[in-house]
Amino acid sequence: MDVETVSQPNQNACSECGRKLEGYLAHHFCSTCQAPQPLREGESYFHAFDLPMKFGLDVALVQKRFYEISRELHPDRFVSSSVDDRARSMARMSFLNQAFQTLRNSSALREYILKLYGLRASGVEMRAEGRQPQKAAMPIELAESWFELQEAVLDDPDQAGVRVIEFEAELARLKAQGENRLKSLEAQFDRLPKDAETEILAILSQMDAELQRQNYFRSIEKDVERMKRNVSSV
Amino acid sequence: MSVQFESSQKKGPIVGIDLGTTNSLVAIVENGVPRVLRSKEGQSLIPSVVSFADQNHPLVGSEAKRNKVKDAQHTVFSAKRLLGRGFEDLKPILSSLPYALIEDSAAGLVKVQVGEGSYSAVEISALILREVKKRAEEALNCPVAQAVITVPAYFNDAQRQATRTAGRLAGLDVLRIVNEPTAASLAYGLDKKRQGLIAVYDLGGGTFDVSILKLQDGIFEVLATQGDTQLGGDDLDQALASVAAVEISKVFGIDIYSDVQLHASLLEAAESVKIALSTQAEAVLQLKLGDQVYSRAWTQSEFEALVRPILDRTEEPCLRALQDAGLKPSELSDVVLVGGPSRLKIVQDTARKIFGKEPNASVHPDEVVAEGAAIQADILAGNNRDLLLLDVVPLSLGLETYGGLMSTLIHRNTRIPTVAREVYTTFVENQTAVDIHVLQGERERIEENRSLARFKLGGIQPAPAGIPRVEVTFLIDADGILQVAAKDLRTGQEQSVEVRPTHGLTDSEVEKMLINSLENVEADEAYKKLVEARNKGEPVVRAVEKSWEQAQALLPPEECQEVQNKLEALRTALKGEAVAAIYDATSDLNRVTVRLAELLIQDSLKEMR
Repeated sequence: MDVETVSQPNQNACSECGRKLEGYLAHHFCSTCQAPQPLREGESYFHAFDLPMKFGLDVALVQKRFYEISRELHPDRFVSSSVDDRARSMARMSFLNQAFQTLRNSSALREYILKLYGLRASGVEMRAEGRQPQKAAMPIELAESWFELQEAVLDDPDQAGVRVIEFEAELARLKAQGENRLKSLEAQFDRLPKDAETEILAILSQMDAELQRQNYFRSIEKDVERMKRNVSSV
Repeated sequence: MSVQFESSQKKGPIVGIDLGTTNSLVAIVENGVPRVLRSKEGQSLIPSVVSFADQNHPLVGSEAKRNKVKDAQHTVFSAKRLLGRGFEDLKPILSSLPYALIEDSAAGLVKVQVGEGSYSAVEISALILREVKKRAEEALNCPVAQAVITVPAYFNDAQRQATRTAGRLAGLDVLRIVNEPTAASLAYGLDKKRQGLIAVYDLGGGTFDVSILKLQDGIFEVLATQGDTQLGGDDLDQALASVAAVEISKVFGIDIYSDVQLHASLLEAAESVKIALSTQAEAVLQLKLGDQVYSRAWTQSEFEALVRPILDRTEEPCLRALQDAGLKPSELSDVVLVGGPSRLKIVQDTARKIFGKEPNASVHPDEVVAEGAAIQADILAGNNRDLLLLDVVPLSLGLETYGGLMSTLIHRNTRIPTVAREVYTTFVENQTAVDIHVLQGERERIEENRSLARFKLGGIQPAPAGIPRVEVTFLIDADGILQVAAKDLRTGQEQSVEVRPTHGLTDSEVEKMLINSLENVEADEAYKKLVEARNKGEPVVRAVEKSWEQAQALLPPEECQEVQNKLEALRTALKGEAVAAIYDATSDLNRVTVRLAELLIQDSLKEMR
């Protein structure tokens, strides 16, 4: 696991002039010689914004820092600099853009933290054709009523409308419940000290299971939409 | 900072260029204020037209535009619509163009057939850019070698690359490709007090873009962009022309489209009707057909009914852009209209209907994009650190995956620069290469997306299946252009990847063209000067010839002889190729006819009484 904690200040020195780098802007470029810094091994999106790894991020602060860092780091500022500086500015700005996109979006943030803790595949492709969406398991509490609904629709599409509406309500209830559980797991994660690895992994595994259920609910929702088009009474 | 400033000074100014479908412009920022550069005659627009009347000496701009009807076979316009496109893509618009397109199957490129020669859209665009560069150099009185060039936001990778290549061929170092609506927003929001969410509705000659931006403290952040690269003011002309074509065929039994000359005149007549209808309630489309004349009156409301279906096509991109930005129309503080056609009331009405807001018409529809490009150039020069553009990639980028489907790597509206990495391994024992097919677009099936490039990732160390690890990096730079790099993760070795664009040129092909074009530059420039000189001299000869009878009556014989001598001298000079001699003979003739001109004016005044 290569999760570096962000709590300690940045001790690195500028790759160009050797001066000490301090503060979150200096994480990206040296305030003395302006040189953009190369991406560091294991550097995370949280490092990029100098924020602690947690789910409950202050989105307004993320946006503010994104502007502040972009203002100095963007390739537009290095058009007449050396080839190396241009390449570093581009690599760092790409990283910052991805970090921004991830930290401001709650579902992307969940996937990202799970990935940092090794709970997501690293993404090796067998070939270009090897990509397949992963299929989640059917949540037990929904399986029975889902099969019943499908049968009911097959038997008598005209009478199944009420059943579809009932099922949708149940689905929405389960989804909301799952989302609440995710929120509470996130809060637990945020409260834990970063060295409590066992507890952290336990929480993240539960989140992983919940997220898979949510994925499943979404795919069922799409099926229900399709079904509704065939059931005239809805 | 001072170092950057000096180096940019040494290379001369960085100009901003709007390479348009119909017209091109160039601008520069001086003391923080953008200024469009004009010709000596005060013209800001350079028609994006190239005339190949003389194959070896193409003419560009107003000179060429005059040939558009006179010599339609040899005159190419709207070449931007062909940039970065394959022959198949263009089939739908083939019949609407008076010039012929051919397929250069080796490069997968489309070329325009003109007489004996054929030219790619990149070469034609390069000729236009060379003219633009010259305009800038004349106006600034110094060499210009660096530029920011704008493209429609919805241009794909191939179209952007083609534009950059055209710039290089024209002898320009293209520091940045900027999206037109984004450039427009810079000029609109230059005044730092402008804050909030805006939509830029940019209907150009051949393309439509809509971008949603957030302006805050000098940062111009594009939230979403959408568009249609085959929708523009040209289509309104085509609509008028096709009505005329049908009516002409019915009444006169003439097939307009089979006659290149007539077709070109009709398009020109249609364009003037469109322009006239932006300021007046009625206009007449007239076309000479031999001794007969087709004449058809259009009222504004008839015209609006005709083109409304075309303009309605802008609605869907606008709604999608709003949706991608996660906004409702009511959250926008301003809707900015850009592009020549935005002068039309129906275009303003369409934008008002879509956004439910009175569109802002404070910007100059033709000049604002070039001004924005100049502002971006000023930012790149390091002169303006208060402003910064944060733009996005307009179309999703992905790879071909099993079953002929596209798997998306980088989603549309992702901020650029951005990067995506894929780690590849092998499928069979000792496999040393993997085929990779890069696509751009929003559809699932690969055929419905744009194929950007196919390449073989080779040089993989022979090993059992599944053991090699090659990381391929897909980077979209700040120009919105793809760069591909590969690295063997086991050996740490970087691998070079030669990407052959599906509809474009490899770097080495560009280099070759570059050398050829530089050889032609001097010859072309000399010829251009000769044509300019002749254009100065010929009207003087004609004017004197016209008034020769009166001159003999008005002038004493010796003066008459003097005029005749100088007239003969100019006629002789015009037949030759000595530019200075033409100018000298022209001013000589002008000098000896000063008194004649005065007498002629007095004479005509007498007649009026």
